[in-house]
Amino acid sequence: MNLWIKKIIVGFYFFIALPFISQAHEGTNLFIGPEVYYVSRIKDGGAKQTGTLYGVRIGYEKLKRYKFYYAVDGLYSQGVLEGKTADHHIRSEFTNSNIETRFGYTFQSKCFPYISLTPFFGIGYMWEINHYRNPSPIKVKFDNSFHYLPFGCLLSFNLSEMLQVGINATARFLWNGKQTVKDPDYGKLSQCYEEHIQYRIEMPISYWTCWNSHQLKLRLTPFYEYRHYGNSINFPFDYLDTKFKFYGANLEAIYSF
Amino acid sequence: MSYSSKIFLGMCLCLPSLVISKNIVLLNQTGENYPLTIDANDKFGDVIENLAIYAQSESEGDLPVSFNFLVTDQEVIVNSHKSKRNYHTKVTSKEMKDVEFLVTKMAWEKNPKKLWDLEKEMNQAGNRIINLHPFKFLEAICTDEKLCAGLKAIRSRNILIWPRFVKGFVSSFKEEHAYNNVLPYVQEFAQTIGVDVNLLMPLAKNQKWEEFVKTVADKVERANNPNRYNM
Repeated sequence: MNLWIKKIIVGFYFFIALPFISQAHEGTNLFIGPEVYYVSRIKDGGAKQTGTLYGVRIGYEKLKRYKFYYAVDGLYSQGVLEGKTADHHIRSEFTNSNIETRFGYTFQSKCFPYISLTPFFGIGYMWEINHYRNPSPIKVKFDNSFHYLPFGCLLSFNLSEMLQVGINATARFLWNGKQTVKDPDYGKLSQCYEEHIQYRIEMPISYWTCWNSHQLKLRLTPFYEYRHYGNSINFPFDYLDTKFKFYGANLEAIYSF
Repeated sequence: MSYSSKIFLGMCLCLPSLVISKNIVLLNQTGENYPLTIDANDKFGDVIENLAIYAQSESEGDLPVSFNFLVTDQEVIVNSHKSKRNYHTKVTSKEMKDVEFLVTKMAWEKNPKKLWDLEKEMNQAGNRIINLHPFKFLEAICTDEKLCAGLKAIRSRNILIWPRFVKGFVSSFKEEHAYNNVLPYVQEFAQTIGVDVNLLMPLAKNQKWEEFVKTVADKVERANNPNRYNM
């Protein structure tokens, strides 16, 4: 995908975010932090790759008791996946990034443990780029970029006044998913695939502290994510059923207004 | 012996005797009628051959013809129906374009709205190639690398696309079977597309047309290796 199209998409998401950010008040957070995760990628034809990706997640959220919830966040991560097919060792540079905006409503109890439930929906865009390098038999580049609709809920409760734990569950519904292939022998090709629902489960653990009379929060979020792109017959080459599993965590420093 | 075979045998035995006492009128597809004179000693086969000669127009030489016999007290009215699909007619480049349009859209157009918008255009393309023999249609698909992949892609789209695709074939196969315009060509068709005739012949004989098209889609092999990106 062209760089300018990517810029337009990112710009669009921040454009949606602007009115919400400008009305920021208590209960709004800005967060940034590293995200590290292990990736397992399995193709139906037998190819298997694993590796670790490193990235950064940045975002903004407004979450307050009995108020509308709004959040926008983005991830950029990159790493090397290694593995093998039946006959070859394969190695690729894998870039996984996304931008997502969410809308919802927060229900929360008034007293300890302040149980909070926030169902939400949203819209997102994902870039999944897998560029094969030596010693892979074909130096092909797969660019799988698509829009999706996330639906889910955030559930949290306090263990103490300073410590909060929760579970976030998200299901992503893809539409019009297509993969662009840059093949050194065949040029640029487009491949359809069968869209399946993707899942992500997070277990955030948040700890509050104060710094310079401002409230700061540290949030460690272990997560598991599953992506499945189904087999599809294409010309000249088929898209083979591909499953991704992500296990990892992000550590975010949250600045609260 | 099946019911239809009994009727056929009965007609073979009865027609010459009917001829003796009744007038025979041959009606062609446009409604024109030709009174026929048939000798009492004519054999059933000769009678049918005569009917076929009358039913054929010079321009469409050897297309198969089917007959319906309506026997009344006064006469025997023979309705002739001529097949419009000739197995020996080659697919023209215009027809090939329509086949390609239909197959590629049905195979790879995923946007339901776009498919809906293309409905009229697809129907028009379908009508333009309605006189293509179903074997020639399938042959055009199976012998083209891209369309062959398209056929398999349509096969994998079970919910709406595949049943619609097969429906057209089933109706044209049924029509052509009535003219005996299918079974004589199964062997040659199977050879051309490289599918085992022993898989196709029983299905054709039992008129399991949906299963027939399914088997063709499943068993026909693509020329290239589609699994290049197994990595």
